[in-house]
Amino acid sequence: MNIESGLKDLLRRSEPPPGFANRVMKRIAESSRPRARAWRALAAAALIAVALGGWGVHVTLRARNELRLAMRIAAEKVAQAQQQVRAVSR
Amino acid sequence: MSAIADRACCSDETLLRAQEGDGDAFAEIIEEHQAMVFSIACNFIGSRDAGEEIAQDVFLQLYRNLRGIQSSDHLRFWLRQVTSRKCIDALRRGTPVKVGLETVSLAVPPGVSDPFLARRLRRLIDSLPDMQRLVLTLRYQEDLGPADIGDLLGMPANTVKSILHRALVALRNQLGDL
Repeated sequence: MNIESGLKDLLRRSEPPPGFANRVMKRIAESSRPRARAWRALAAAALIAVALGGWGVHVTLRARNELRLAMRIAAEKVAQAQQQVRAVSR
Repeated sequence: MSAIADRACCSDETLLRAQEGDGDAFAEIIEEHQAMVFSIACNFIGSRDAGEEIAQDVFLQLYRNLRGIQSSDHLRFWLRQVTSRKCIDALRRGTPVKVGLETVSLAVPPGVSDPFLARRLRRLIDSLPDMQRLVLTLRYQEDLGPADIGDLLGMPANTVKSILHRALVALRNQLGDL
C-alpha cells in the first residue's frame, strides 16, 4: 500500500459539527460581556466622582461668599461704631 | 484576475471589515477557515470533541488579536501556527481527551477508500510522538512542505524532514508488522 496516499486520505480536512461558527460567536459575546460591565462600572464611578467634586466646589464657593459677606457686614458695623465714637467725642 | 486571486482579494476585504468590528465578517472568516483549524486539532489530538474545543479557543484568540493580522495569507499562517501551539499546550497541560466509541469512529473521516486500514493507520498515528504527529498532520492535511512547516513550528527545514522521515519509517514498520 502507498502509505503517503493513505495518510492524505485519512488526514484530509473535515468540517466541524454544524453550528460551530455560532458557538464561537456566542463565546466571544460572553467573553466581552464582563468587559462591557467593567466599562459601565468605571463610567458610573467617574460620574459619581465628578458629581462629588462639583458638589465640593459648590460648597466651598458658597462658604467663601458667606465669609466675604460676614466680613463686609462686620466692616460696616465697625465703621458705624467708629463714626458714633467720633460723634460722641466731639 | 484568477479565481484564486479573486478569493484572496475577497478574504482581505472580509478581514478588513472584521477588523472594523463587523461581526458578520468575523463569522465569515470562521466559516472559511473552520475546517482547517478543526482538522489540524482533530487529527493531532485524535478526538473531535477536544478538537472542537481547541478550534474554538483559536478563533477566540484570533478575535482578540485581529488588529495584528495584515492579510489573508498572514491570517492562514497565524491560524495554523496558533492551532499547532494550542495542540501541543493542550497535551502538555494534560487536558483530558474524551475518546468515546463515537469519537473513535468519527476520527476516521467518512468516504476513505479503505476504512479498516484507515482505522489501523489512525491508531498508529496516535501512538507516534507529539511532534511527529503534528508534522504529519501539517504535511498531509495541509499539503505543506518542510520549509513551510519549519516556519510554522520555528525549526529548520532539515529538522522537519528528519521528523517526517522518522514518522514514516515508524508507520511503515508497524504496518508491516500487522
